[in-house]
Amino acid sequence: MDRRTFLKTGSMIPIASALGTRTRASAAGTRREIDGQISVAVIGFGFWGREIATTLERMPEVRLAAIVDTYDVMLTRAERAHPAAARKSDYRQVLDDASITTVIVATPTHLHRQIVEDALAAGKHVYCEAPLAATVDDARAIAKAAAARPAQIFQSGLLMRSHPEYRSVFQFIRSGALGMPTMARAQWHRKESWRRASPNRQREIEQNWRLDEEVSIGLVGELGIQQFDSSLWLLDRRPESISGFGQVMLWDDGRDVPDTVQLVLGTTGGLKMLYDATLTSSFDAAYEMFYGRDSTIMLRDGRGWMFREVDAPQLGWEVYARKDQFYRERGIALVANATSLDAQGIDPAADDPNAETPLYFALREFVENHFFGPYPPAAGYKEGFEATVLAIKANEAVIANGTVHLEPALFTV
Amino acid sequence: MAPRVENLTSDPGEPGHHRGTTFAPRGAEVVRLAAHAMGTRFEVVLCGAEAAWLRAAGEEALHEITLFHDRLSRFDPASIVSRINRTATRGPMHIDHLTFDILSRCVRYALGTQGAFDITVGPLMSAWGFRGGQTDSTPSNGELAALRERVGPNILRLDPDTGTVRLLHPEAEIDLGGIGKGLAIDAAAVLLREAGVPGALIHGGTSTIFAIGKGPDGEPWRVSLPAEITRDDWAVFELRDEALSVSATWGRSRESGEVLYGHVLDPRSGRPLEGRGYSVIRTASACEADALSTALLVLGSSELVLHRYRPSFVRVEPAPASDSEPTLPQPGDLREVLGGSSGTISSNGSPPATPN
Repeated sequence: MDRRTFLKTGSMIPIASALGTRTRASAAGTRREIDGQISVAVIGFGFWGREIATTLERMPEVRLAAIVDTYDVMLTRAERAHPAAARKSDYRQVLDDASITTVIVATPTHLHRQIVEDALAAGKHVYCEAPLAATVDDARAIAKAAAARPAQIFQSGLLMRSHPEYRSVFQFIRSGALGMPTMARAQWHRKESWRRASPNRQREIEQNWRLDEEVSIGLVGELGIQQFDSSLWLLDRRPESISGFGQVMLWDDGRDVPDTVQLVLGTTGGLKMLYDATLTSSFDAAYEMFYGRDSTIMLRDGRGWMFREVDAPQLGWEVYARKDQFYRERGIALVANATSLDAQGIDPAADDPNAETPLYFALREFVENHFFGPYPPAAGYKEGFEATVLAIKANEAVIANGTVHLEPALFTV
Repeated sequence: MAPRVENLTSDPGEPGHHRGTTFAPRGAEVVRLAAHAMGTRFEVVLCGAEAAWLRAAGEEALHEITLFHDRLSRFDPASIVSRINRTATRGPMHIDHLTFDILSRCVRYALGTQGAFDITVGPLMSAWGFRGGQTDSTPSNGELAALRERVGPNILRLDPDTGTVRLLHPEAEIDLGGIGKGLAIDAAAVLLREAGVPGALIHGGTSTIFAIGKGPDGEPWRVSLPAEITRDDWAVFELRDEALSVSATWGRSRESGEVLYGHVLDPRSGRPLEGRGYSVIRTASACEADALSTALLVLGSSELVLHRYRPSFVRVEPAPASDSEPTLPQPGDLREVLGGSSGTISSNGSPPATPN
């Protein structure tokens, strides 16, 4: 199959070359010659680790070599879902295995540091879930370890940086589609207790690390990090201050970690972003909004819409674009890669034929880096560190019900 | 019709009510959770010692169900089913182990039912207007013959060596709607058991049900058929670590001339079933119950299927009727069909199970 055919027919369109906002990799002549597949181990087989393993298994270039978890129930689940993968209870076993080149760290956040440091020291490529850590010191240690090994791939799990729809909107916003950006807003709403059940009391305590204020950085840290990061990236802003409020409103089961948080993020240029997350209501789920003088852009479920102000200058293409109704507003559907879809004979107004989950796109980029890189990932150690610091400070603001000023030095690796 | 589980039948206002049920012994908790997925409402009822722990287990179970929705929905362009329909018509497509296993089971069910259960039946469903859009269409014989080229278990090619799936017709598609609820419920039940939940009942739209352990009264979960089926008598099934699925031709039925077409379609003929009928399957797996309750409607009184899967089948087949009410089996008939299984008929229940 030649490259043209591969691009036209495959579901495996290389993100780095086809969807990226920047061209990198092979242009530098550093393409690696890898025969066959890369061998990957997933460390941590909780909910997210399961999703990662299932997603990796769909990629022909990946051999899911091993799954690591300290809880035997999770290893039983691993055996059911991925019988070909070895099951280990100690991550050092996969670090000692020279045939495994790559590890994905999906353990509880506060356990990342030691595993990542050991994995990098063992010469492995590392994908570390976001947030990188639960403390600034741990996050900085991870970033420094990654920075010290430029020949090894390190990608942080800031999913939206690899998502083609977000990259497409990145271009829209950076080219001035909003007019002057004036504010941003994002939310994450779900009705659930955030608690995990286990027949074993000690395991139950360990599984409920998100509800332990000693190690958890709460809703804003575990979930808000993705939306803060993508918003600042799209708007090209730096965080300057964060004010937060948090309280237990519904799940009054002895926990101290708030089930509802509201924050105001101050950024460069005076633009402020409002954010709220709750475990008490599922209404309107999750989305990000970017408001400007000429239009507002909404991102939700991996799709984007633009709402134009009536006095905004008309864009040439908007008359041809698909419009979706949102109560009394008409949103212009923003379709990533519309031009290339059109060239492939695919109706850009239809649902995206290359639609995938955000996790797939992130892992796809990570895997391709093994073949086409090494190049700096869209979400490398620096981006991961900065987003993690912001998440940790945001949680501090929530706990204090106050404001934390974010000095630039804080974000220096 | 509200779903109803006999063990939980109580008025929240009546004396002795305790956390949702009059049957809960002192110290026991009953927690009910629900989520929307696969176009219907899934509910989990859990009973055990501690409400917060039960809720946590139930949330994980419901989350598993929504994951299956995300994977199997043909309306979500990012789902694995949508990607297969887009991509596997052009060549072998690499899929994960779980999806491969699901499709393998579908092929087994298709072969085991002589094509009465078929996940490739979508083009025919569309042609008959059972997927929205034009609902009064009646395809010609020629159109049906052309569509049947795109349908059948042989259209689906699974290669275990490469872990790939391929659809052998460029316009073929798969639709796991006939088995998705059962798959999700089985997976959710596994998680509940792993969490150590002693008693739980999960249902999807009340048509596919799985019971774990015992109900809050210490007895097997008791589930009864709806009044439309049983008229003035009730069929009550006692379930313990078992699944029950009910399928019927009515519900989304439509009329064309003097013919009443149910929404269940015979993939072998390409035509919807005529008249009214229903089937009930009771077996160890919700997935199997879900798939085979539909197949049994199509097969009618086929002894092949009954023989093949006995004794896990429970089957009820009323004669097709032309009037607006279904022709119903008498309770005695039902008891006879149930002979040899653990099912019972009683007259003190009221219906929860709604045919899909």
